[in-house]
Amino acid sequence: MREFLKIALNLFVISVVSAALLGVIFTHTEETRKRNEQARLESSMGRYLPADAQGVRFAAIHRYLLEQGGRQDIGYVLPVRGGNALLVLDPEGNVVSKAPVSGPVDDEAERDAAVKRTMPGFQARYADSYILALDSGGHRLASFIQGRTAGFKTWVKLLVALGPDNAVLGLEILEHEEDPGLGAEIEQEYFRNQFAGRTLDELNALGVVKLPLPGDYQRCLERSKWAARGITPQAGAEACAKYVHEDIHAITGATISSRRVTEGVKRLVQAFVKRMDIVAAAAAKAGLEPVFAPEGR
Amino acid sequence: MEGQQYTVLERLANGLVRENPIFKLALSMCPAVAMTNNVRNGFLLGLAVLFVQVASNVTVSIFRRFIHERIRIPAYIIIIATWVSVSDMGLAAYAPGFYKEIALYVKLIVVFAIIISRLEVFASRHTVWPSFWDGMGMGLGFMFALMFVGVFREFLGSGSLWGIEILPFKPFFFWSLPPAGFFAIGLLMALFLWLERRYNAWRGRK
Repeated sequence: MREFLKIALNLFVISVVSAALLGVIFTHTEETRKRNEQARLESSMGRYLPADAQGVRFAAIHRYLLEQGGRQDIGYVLPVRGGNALLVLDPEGNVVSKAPVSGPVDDEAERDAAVKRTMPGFQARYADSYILALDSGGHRLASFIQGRTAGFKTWVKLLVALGPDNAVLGLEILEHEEDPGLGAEIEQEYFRNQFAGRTLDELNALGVVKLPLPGDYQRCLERSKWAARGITPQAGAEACAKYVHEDIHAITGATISSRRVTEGVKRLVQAFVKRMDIVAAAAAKAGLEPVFAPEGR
Repeated sequence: MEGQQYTVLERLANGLVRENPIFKLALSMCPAVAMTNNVRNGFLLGLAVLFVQVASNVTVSIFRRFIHERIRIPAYIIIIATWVSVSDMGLAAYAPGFYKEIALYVKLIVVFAIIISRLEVFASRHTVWPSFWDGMGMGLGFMFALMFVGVFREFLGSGSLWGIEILPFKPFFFWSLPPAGFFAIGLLMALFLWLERRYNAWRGRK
């Protein structure tokens, strides 16, 4: 019995010391980590804004799944004139309710709490966010979809940048755990940049082919190396022009990762376009005044 | 064993050659197969292992009299997991660029057999200073083996080294695929042992 107590106490002390150490380090590093992540996201988004854009404002739309007694609704946290509002729609897109949201909504934890306060008695689950870059008139300069898709191993977090006409400006891989040298190549420019310039119609019909990437196509896709290779932006764009309507070339040895990311981008963009239409129409019907114009330019 | 003398050089040579984790002890073969399709991956994973091995070795050797004999394995796992989490959180906050590349590997280290086996075999029976150098030797030996396999596979698989193009084509793409890791490690392990045997025979003749 004494032996038993000694062992239990011993393991208990080790666990407590280790938990305390981790707790201290977590509280010291978490803020910095979040700031880094935010900074990385902002710099990723900045790359897709027009260089001469003045007075750009960012407005975020957050989507929540609301549940109560077997009934499912979708809640949109929208930036409106003078604050934020929660617009609740049923799956068909009809307005169920609207209410102002009090408190800050930028931080995920704070936002979850604010949504719960606004909709007491509901199960609220965060789904995803859309970030709109707006000019002074509230027109979209670019839209950013933060979403995820299943990769070969686990979730791949993506950032898709869309222009005002909903054509793809670019794709960024925010987080993934694919195999280095194989699936991890999805973060390389020669794969990501194949999506740039696709219009919505092209994207709907976009497929993946298992064909080797032509050498000159690869060179013009690797934009960050243009300067080092002596390629002018104009020459680079021209070299890519004859390939931009081809399907996505799968990464050698990582066809599944390539296919999943392509499907993910298509799905995210299609859902975004559909939802933005629904939200704009529903907001008008509900008498809300979102800070963004209903259509892109 | 407590009385035996260990020098810095002896411990480093032990980890790098005599008890090389990959080629001799054949421990932690999963990462060695999965993460060696290029040199850079081998180096980054090696670096992460080096840190966790040294930190865990030192911690265990300091508290070796406190840890109860019958629960030493769970205790070691907690210690390893703590150091892995500390390095994970620290890197995420203070070296985000580096972390983005290494994040994948850091979390895997908790289950590496080499680390817990060194705690059990060495650190739990020796004082802090030899344990520190044992960790250094094992970490460096692991890194060396991974990079050695990485050089072989990256050059043959992608025609490059450390991501720098050397050949304008890919000689044998087969070597970049995960199953080729088994072949590569088997061949290089044979080469490593053959070289060591030749060296010992040569020294014996002198």
